[in-house]
Amino acid sequence: MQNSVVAQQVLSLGDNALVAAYLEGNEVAFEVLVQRYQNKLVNYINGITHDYDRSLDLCQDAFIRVFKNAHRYQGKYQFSTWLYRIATNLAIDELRRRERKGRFFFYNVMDLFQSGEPSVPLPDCRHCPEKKLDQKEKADRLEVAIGSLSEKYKLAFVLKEVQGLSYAETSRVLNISLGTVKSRIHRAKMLLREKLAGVL
Amino acid sequence: MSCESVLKKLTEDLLSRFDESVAAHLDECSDCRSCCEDLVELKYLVQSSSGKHRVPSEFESETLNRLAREKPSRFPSFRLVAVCATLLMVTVGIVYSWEDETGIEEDRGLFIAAQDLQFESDRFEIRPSAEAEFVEVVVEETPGNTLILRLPSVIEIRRTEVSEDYHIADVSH
Repeated sequence: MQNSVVAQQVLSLGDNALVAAYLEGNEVAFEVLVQRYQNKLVNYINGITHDYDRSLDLCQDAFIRVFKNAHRYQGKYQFSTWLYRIATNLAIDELRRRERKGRFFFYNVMDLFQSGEPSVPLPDCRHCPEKKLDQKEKADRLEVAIGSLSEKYKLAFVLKEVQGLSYAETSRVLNISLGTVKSRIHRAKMLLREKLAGVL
Repeated sequence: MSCESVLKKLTEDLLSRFDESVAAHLDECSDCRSCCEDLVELKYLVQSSSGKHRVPSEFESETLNRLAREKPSRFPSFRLVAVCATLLMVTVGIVYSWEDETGIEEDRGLFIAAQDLQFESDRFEIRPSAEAEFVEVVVEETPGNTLILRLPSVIEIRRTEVSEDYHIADVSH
């Protein structure tokens, strides 16, 4: 009974208070933070790396790194900003490691077909409901299109538009100015509009 | 208002399409209107497609187990401290010994500090080991009791220490 009351109290704590509680030895606080962010973080990393299994590993790495260094967290920015920054660095490392190793992912194969103008452009189905792409196909096309963006546009777009961070948070996670975030997201959206011609 | 500035406003915040100046431009410019429609559709598509992955049920417990295994110590491990201390002290001893051979110092000695070992001795020898990157330091710990330390053949000390008895500056051998 007493344990469940304590658990309820922990659940209601904000992120910073949970970090503080963890540092004071409350292991439940860490569990709550993992529960709170695990799905978001896996989807974020997967949005960058397009490798779900690897995203799970990297998500776990991010949590471990965060909590091994929890004593360094100063609470100046939101906990999520710190967590996303660590996850971003891990995801970027993963992309660069792949580049170095020249690993050949299915995703890259798709990318080759997507480079430049599509050879067989999808028809514009906006005004013909019977031919509309189903939601699954659209989501797949979106994933491929986001994945084909260059790293700088992809990171800004995924953080702001997919993960729902504010411009200010995105700027802090990526350690770039607000103006640069805005211009990258503008460029990313314009590129996605081109890549998704026939889907939107 | 130019198309470029309208599109910048729209990509920054789609709600700006309801601003008077932007709305007026969209009424007149079909290209920007089409772009605005696509951006609305893109936003909808992103929102409806994101967050589709759920972590497996065992993810949380695996993460917690891994954290428990990797939990950092607040202090450097005693083993590490002991090894560093040993390396430093043995190096001091070696330098001490070399200086003795050149006649600069009259005394020679080896100081060892490790986990369950702390002593000094003037009865030791350094000999090559089977592997080039290691040397063996043979020490007579107590009469009749010999200790063999296997140490890297190259030891660097980047710090400079000066004491009454010896002087070490960027030593390597």
